[in-house]
Amino acid sequence: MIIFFVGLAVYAGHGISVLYLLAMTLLSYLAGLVIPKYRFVMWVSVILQASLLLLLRLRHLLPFPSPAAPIGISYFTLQIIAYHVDLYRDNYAPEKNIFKFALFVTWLPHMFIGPIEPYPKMKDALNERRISVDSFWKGALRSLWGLFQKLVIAARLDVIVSAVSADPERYNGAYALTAMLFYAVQLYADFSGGIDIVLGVSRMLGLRMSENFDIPYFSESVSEFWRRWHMTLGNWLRDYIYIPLGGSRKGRLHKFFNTMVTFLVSGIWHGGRYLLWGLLHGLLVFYGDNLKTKNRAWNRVVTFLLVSFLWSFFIWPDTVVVLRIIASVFTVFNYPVLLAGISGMGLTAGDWIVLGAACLLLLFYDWKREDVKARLCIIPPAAKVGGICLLTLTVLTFGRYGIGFSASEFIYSSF
Amino acid sequence: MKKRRNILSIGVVLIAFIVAFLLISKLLQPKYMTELEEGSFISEYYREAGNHDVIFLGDCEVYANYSPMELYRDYGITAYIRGTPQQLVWMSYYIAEETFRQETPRVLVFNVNAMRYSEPVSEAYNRLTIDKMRWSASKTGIILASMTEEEQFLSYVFPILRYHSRFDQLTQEDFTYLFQVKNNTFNGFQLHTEVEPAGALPVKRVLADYRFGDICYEYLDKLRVLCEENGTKLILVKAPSLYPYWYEEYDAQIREYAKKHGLSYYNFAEQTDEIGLDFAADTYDGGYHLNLSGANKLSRYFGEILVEEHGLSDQRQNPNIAAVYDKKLQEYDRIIAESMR
Repeated sequence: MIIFFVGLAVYAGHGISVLYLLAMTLLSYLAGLVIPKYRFVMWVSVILQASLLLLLRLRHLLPFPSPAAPIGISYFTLQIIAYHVDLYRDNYAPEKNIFKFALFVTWLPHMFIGPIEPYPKMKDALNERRISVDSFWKGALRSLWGLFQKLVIAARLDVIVSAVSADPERYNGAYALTAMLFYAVQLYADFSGGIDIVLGVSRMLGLRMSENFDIPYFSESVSEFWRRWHMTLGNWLRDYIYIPLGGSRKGRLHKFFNTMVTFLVSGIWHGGRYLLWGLLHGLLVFYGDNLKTKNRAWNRVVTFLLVSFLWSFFIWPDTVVVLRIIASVFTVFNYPVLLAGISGMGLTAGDWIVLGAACLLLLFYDWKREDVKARLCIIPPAAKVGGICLLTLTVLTFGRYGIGFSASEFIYSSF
Repeated sequence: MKKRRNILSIGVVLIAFIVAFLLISKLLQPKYMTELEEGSFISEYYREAGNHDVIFLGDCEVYANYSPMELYRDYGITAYIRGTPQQLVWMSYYIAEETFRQETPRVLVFNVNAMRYSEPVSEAYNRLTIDKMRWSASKTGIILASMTEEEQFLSYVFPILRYHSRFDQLTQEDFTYLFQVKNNTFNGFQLHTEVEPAGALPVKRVLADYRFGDICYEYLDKLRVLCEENGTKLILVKAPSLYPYWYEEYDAQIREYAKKHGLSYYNFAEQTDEIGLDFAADTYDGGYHLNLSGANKLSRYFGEILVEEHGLSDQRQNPNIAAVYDKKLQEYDRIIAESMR
């Protein structure tokens, strides 16, 4: 209960959003109680929640002004819809304890960037919540690793990406390609780092939450990428959109239609500007396997490039600009001046060295993370504390934060 | 046994972490020894704190324009300038508060130029005044009163939060002065021997409002009361700089305040002829600040006022003081001779 109220207090700092959240929590709780008896309530709830989310997500297309989306709406709305659909399907019984339900919806650490937690998993996690020295140090280490990714890597890459994206007329061709590749890493470090902070803090509070990433840039196809990137959203889309539509059971045409609808929903979830991005991903998921070769490394490179190109929709807000910029990568040959141009964009030599070393460390960790985790479990307590201290010093010294930086803002908070 | 060994090991790691943290923080913090040396002025006082007849408070108009060495040489007055760049009124108050915990001067001279600023000017200026202050209630007060919107109190407590980005800008200075310091002033006086005659000055703009801010008066009142409580005479001065303009409307407000509270106020900008200032030779930056020659003239002029109107006595007969100041004067003269060469 304390965690719930602390969460609300923090959330209250974001203005009237807290009222929307409280109202939604209460209504959803009551709706959940009656769905097993009055099934139509599920439809009312889903239509209402989806409409509100759609309205707020596509508000820039509306002919009239509408309020800004409450923080976390994309995450808690999907959780509530899943909960009500599962109750409709009789997958489990409704939660009677309003505080437990409220905690499921409003669990502070994940309000801003997820993960989108299924109710049974959250319920088990809350019931089994146990704070121990082991969970605390593991959580602390993971949170610090998240901060490292966010402040040491993502914040540095942001300098280049922001400079390039601010002037698409000047920075196209090689600059645009660099921005796309850098943004791919930036977004991963920012989002995966944020999720590490969320999971780490939750772990420190004794709660184990779902993983959201499984080294996505090691994927050999775009469909595999989507099984490894933002996994909780992918699972939600699969369970509540793709499979209810029929999945891949009714022939190739149906599968194509279902895939495109699923990725259209994914695009809408990210925001009205990302419809084309969602559809292109749908096409790559459906046809992408045709691009695969026997060379796994080549497959990974192609997948990374395809995904990076499509992140352009996130870098440049205007779709026409995005298409022009992507074309410029192949038509504007300013590659010889790239190094000189990028070196003057605000990162010092020291920044580049730190960035390079940090990216290598991230790559190594992702590549060997099971080994690293296994080793971390058997090292003596003093070494564990030493690890936390070392990571703290590294983040404090080499992180980019302070005046002029918004260290608490994550890219995925805006979705 | 194993448990005890674990606790001991963790203790050693934590101590190592604290030492490393403090060391890195200190390394990354600007030293203000050879670059932006004005940032070191505030801390030099701690090595000199003692029995001063006069303490000066204010911005660059005090540390560039008055020479305590000349005040001692000519009148036997022991003085210290606790001036820092862009020192605002509330900063002067907290520095005075800190000073009174160290000593009780007979006279406190406050340069009123800061009255024109009723808001913090910039984080950079705040840092030059606050960074090297010793921790006390006064430092906490000065931080809270001076922080701009973007600043955070914690970054003053843990300087690494502010200066971590210097990791690739470290110079020889950062290592040389990691554990040692040097004086950049003579009793707070920043010595400039170079000459840049006054030339064209910026256009004198007409202001929409000449009134000093309430917060300035609030802290000036607090400073006055603090002096009264400590039996110290508060003197208000305005240094003879040509720019920024000290408007007549400003002057009138200070005169009125001084009259109301029975304080002495000297606007030296109106007495440049009596002082003998020649802005073709007595300034090092075109009339904004005085150079050594100008500071000597102003110090002699003000010294006479301090003796004749405020009864300060000659300390040169005190052997303890003479021993210290004779040594300082020797060094002062040596540096001047060196810089004149």
